[in-house]
Amino acid sequence: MKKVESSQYLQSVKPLLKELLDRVLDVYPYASILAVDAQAVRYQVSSMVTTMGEDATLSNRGFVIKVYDGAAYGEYSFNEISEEKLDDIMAHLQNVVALRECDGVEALSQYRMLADEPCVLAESTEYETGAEELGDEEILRRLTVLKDQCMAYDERVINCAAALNYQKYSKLFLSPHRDMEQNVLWTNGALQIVVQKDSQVKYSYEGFSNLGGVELMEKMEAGIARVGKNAIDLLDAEPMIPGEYDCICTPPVTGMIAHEAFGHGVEMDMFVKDRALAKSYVGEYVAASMLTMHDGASLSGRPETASYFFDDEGVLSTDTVIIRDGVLQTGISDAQSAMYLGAEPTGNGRRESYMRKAYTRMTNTWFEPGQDKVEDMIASIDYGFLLDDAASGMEDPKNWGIQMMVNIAREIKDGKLTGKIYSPVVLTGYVPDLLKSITMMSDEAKLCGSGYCGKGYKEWVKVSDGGPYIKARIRLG
Amino acid sequence: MIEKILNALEEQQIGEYLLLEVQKEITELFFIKKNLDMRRAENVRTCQVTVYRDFEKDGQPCKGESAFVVEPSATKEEISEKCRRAYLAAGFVANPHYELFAGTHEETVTVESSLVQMSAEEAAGAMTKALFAADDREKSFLNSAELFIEKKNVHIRNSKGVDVSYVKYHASGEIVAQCKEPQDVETFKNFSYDELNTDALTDLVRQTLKMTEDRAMAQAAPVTGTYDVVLSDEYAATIFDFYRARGGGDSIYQHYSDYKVGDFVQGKPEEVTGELLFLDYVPTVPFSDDGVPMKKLPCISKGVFQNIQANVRYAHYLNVPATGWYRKLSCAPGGTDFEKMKKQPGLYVVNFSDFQMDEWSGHFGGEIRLAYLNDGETITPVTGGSINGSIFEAQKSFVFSKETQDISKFCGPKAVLLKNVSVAGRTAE
Repeated sequence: MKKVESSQYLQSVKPLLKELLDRVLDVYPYASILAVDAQAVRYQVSSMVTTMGEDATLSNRGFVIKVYDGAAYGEYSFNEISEEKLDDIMAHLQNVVALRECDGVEALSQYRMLADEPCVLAESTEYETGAEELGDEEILRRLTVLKDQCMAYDERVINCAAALNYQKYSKLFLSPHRDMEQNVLWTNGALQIVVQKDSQVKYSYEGFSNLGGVELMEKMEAGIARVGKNAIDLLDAEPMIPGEYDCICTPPVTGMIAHEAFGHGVEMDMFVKDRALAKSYVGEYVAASMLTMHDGASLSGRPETASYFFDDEGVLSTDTVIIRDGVLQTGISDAQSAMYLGAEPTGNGRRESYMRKAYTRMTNTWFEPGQDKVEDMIASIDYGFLLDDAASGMEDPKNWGIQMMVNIAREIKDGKLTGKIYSPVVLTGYVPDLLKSITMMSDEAKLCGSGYCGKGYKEWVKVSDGGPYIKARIRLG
Repeated sequence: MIEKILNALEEQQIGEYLLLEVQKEITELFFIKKNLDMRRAENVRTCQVTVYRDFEKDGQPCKGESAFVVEPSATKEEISEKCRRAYLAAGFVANPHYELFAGTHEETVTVESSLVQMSAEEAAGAMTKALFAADDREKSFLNSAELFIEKKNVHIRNSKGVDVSYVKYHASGEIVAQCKEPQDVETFKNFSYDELNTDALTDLVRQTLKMTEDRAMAQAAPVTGTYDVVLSDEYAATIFDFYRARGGGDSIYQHYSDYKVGDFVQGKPEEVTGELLFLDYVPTVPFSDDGVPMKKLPCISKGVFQNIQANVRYAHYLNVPATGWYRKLSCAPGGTDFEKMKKQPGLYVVNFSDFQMDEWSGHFGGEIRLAYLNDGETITPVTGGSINGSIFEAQKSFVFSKETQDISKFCGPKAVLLKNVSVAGRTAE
């Protein structure tokens, strides 16, 4: 295994950043600088088009200064720095702080100054094979082989795609007492098969992920049969008959439930705004007693694409137990929200990029496994569905509603899969009702980090989620 | 930065390229209740460089391409290395050959907007006042809000003479309204304007606060069944995303869309009992990312597909003119009063947790946060459950309102009535 290397660029500008920090601290009682150098590359081979290049959203290099003016915080994001530009940066920062005088602003929030316990750290994640080592030609060649295998799956396949993307990022966090560096590499893969029957076009997709390099590609071939079968089965899918059913959720669906149901629900910046019902349920049963739920970026937890050593506010990552044995334990937090609420920060302050504000965000979110076998779980159902292929979801931390789109509901009758499939499916319900209805959990938890999470409809950050197969009572439409 | 990149391209003898330089200046205000909780500014400049390489594979002419991002901090050596890697990689990207768009130098275009006339701070102040102007109700209030004032300079240059640029202003953000009695509920809404649209923002806040008070009183989900469903504002607009995507050259070339110019695309003509579609692609910027000048263009007329919207590559593959990629559609309004629509028995959904329109499958749906159920006699606020429909069925019997809306992605009827849509809710008593 190799360690991800430091950014030479960030090392070269570090003295300048320290000089800038000193100048800012001459004016303001607290300041920090986050510096980012990220390179992301995307490869996609479909039967019609090939694309390869840097991802313009995930590739970025720049800085954000955060300052405290004695009452609240202001930030300035920029990507040009030199000795000559320092005066200009200071002037912009002062303009930001002056926005407190903006027309229409009646008052300013009142915060204390962030704690700044000393910390010096330089860490890197590991990988087996780097993209540069394997080479763009070889990566595209392997994706082409996967694409050809997908095309050959069935004569009804009209298009397919095999894709790979990775992000290697280096971050420096500098404050009066902190000097932290981390270098992280994650990789995602994807297979998509599009099928057609008459005028109907259906598709299925599977994501792959690791906290590592392009060795991930070795796992992708195994997904072709699953994606192909799901796509072909969808051609004969029937519309869902609305109702409440006994359901088995596959790990990706379980993961999305964990993410949407209680992940968003315990983001503590929502506690600050009085937007999360969970705030008043700490210490109470919110799920079946067999359920334990985690979120954390700590490398000692479940390393996945959202793992890191410290968050974008210089707080060390942790593994937070959110629900233990069905009882809500705590939320996850960014530094500012934790300080406001008098809680310990959990290392969940994340930015979409150096250009965006930090919010409380999830990382790797998952349910611990239980003790059941999947076949016993299916056999226990008289009439219900196996839910697979989670497509999207939306949180409702205030009212604990849940909405998820799932592409596939496989019918179960008398303990057996009938082969009949329903699609698309809208899964809705009240989060505690759903989580308390869990009666069985399989003995293995799987996480996948191929997705992104938004806060509302923006602020996309890399996350993973997962868990075991679960059996629960769910309203489907 | 552009000069450094051009020098590196020349040194590497890369003859074909496209540069997309973007400078963004954004002023951001974050509120919790009426308190300014965080203020931010962003000032960044980046350039996306695409390099092209012509070659032959299996006797067929190919044009490969690969892109990379350059920041102002990049050194000459870094840019040279990125050019080298991208040009090498472009040789492995064996797409059918096409020609880049050829153009000339043109003066910078400033997209017309009332935001042009003022500084970012002045615009932020005006929008802040508009934000709180209607936040004066007894039962409901703004829980939190985010406001972004953006100025974007875009410069597009390619090796075929294109050298165009434009400046665009934009105001956007989100609001969360809360009502604590009789139930503690909230409503999330986002907004996006190309003008200093203070009246629209104040109206949005007023409507959202009222909607949140109604949701606080809503007790039950509608009974499971089929309903005539009315959607308005951004949800009505989202329905039309389907047609914008289906008319896209990338979708058509890759067989995700079966649209052909001249075909009736609203189902079978004899089955259509509702409004016929009249849709236009509407430009929101003067030039596409390829440098193609963008103009209003018919998309669907009387239900018949008129034009494929495509970037230079897909236009060449499909042998149609390059139009650029449009982010906005307009739709001719209908003949029904919005108020009359709401008075008919059915379900008027005013807030979803997340309304989705799947552009491939034609499926639309979402969980209902607030709807008004009209049973023919009374109107009751309901919450919970979901709608689940197919555009292929719904498009046969569209009813459009006379009243119109104009938002960033859509200009057309304020409301759309969709007949016989499946609703999953509670079991009838």
